[in-house]
Amino acid sequence: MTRPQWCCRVGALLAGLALLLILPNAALRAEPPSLTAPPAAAATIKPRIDPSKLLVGPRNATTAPSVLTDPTGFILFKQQQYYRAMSLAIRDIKRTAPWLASFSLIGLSFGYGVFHAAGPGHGKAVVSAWLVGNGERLRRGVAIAFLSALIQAITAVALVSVLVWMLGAASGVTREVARYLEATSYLLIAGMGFWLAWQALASRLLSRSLAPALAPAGHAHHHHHPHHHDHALCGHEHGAHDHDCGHNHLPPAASLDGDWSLRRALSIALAVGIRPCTGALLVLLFSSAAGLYWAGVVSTFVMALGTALTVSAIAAIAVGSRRLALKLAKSDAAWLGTIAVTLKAGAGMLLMLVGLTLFWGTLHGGVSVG
Amino acid sequence: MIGRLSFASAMALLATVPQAGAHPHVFIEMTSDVVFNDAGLINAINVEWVFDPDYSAMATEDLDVNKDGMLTTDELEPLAKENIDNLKEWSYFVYGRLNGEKMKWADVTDYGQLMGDDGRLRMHFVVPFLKPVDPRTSEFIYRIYDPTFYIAIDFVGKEPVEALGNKPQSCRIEVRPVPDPNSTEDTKAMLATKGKDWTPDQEDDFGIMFAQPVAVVCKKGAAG
Repeated sequence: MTRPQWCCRVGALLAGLALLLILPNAALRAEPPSLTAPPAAAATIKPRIDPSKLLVGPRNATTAPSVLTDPTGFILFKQQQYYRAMSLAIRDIKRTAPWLASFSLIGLSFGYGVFHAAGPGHGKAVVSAWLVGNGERLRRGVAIAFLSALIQAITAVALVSVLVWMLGAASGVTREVARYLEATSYLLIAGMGFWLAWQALASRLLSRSLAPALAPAGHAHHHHHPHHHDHALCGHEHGAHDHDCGHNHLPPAASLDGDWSLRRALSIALAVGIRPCTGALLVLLFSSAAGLYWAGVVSTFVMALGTALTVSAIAAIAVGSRRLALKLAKSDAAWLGTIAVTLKAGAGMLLMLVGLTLFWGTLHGGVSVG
Repeated sequence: MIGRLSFASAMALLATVPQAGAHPHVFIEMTSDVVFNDAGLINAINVEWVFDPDYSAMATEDLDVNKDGMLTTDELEPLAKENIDNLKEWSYFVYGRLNGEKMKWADVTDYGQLMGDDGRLRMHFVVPFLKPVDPRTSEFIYRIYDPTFYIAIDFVGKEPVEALGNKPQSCRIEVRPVPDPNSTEDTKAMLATKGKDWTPDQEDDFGIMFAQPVAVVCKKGAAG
């Protein structure tokens, strides 16, 4: 498979996601319909009552259809059960423990920020960029790391906020909007899960088949990644790095030499940080789906702080101790890559399942989380 | 990397499922009527429930079929019907004893729901007796409660139970206190630690200890 095809596929996927966002929105403008309830004309059709609404329904719940005689019914039943439990959990979090949930999210995000920047594939790129560094470069580099992390966070928040605002402005009926937003964010979550899994597996397969031909050990240019970016900034001396979202937290050392102005610093930081991190988008979507929008915003900035701290620490180590830096770089071993790919693929599939189940629930008139 | 977070958050989400909430989960404020026929015999119990705002909001979501922002009795009917149908198995939560014997009811056919201006859902239903009961010659007591205490149902107001119809002069309605308030509080504390999926053993009749008995007491020998 050649690069253009990859790019097209990703483009199509993103376009598809965008369409999913825009289509229900456009439909809403034309005539306020509903994803869940029948339109007014069909008033005779009784809505199906969700089991969770019943006073005694949940406890003497109907038994599941047999998996042998009615496999479809069985799957639907199980799916409904699962969805109900999950949406009730989100509803309960919102009602009973929004602070606990918010702080967990924020803590998780900080940890993610710290470890994501230190993860396999990442250390090497950063360290190699800074091996020839000096004290002045380090100072500038740390400033750039914080600045670009901040810009990344702002981009992510702006993107999701515009999304929320767009959906909100489309209709005055807030409950309708909440429903679309919910359905859309579940779809996005599922789509992101699919993308993660697909990207992880595909990049693995491709690097197996192409890597030996293209690259001698330890100096692979992994150009198979679906989005090629920042090539002007990442010089080839950077060696192999996993081009995951938001991985260019540091510009190459060379670009920090010479004249130094706020304007120049900003432009470097912008180039690095303009693309929001998938992790941040994920947290924001999750949190707005769960009605914890502000916790998501705080989480995003805390995540950026964690990333900036780690990148700065790695850079400082690189300047301070060449040996330690080399050791860190060496730990970027193949088995770590395999673990990362497995984790990512598994998590992606799980996420896709969660997203699809929740989306399915909104379509079938389940308990709304919003 | 990204995978790690999504995995963690998905797991966190899944892990919260069993611990969600604690007993009870729905709160109902209740009034009731004892219905007498022309001969002064009891032939039905009226029940009027006012649900807590949370349940009201959750239960009525999606039910505004014509999207006019109003919940009519018609729109609430499917929910009421399903609740009543399911409650049948549970004696409609109305547990009566006639001279100490458990009573059975005829099917509820008169019921309805409406949404109050205060955002609280109301439900009323009439539990018809299989056979009219003469309170002057027999001892009649009833309680209204959820045996598993998933739902807390409490009487409200100064006179939560009234008589309708031709009540004999010699009879009055007594709403008695719960038998043992102290142990009731202890049990409530215990139940608060239980999750949503928890139910008492089949034999346990938890709800009864929170339920105020209603008795129809008549002066013996004094005819109506």
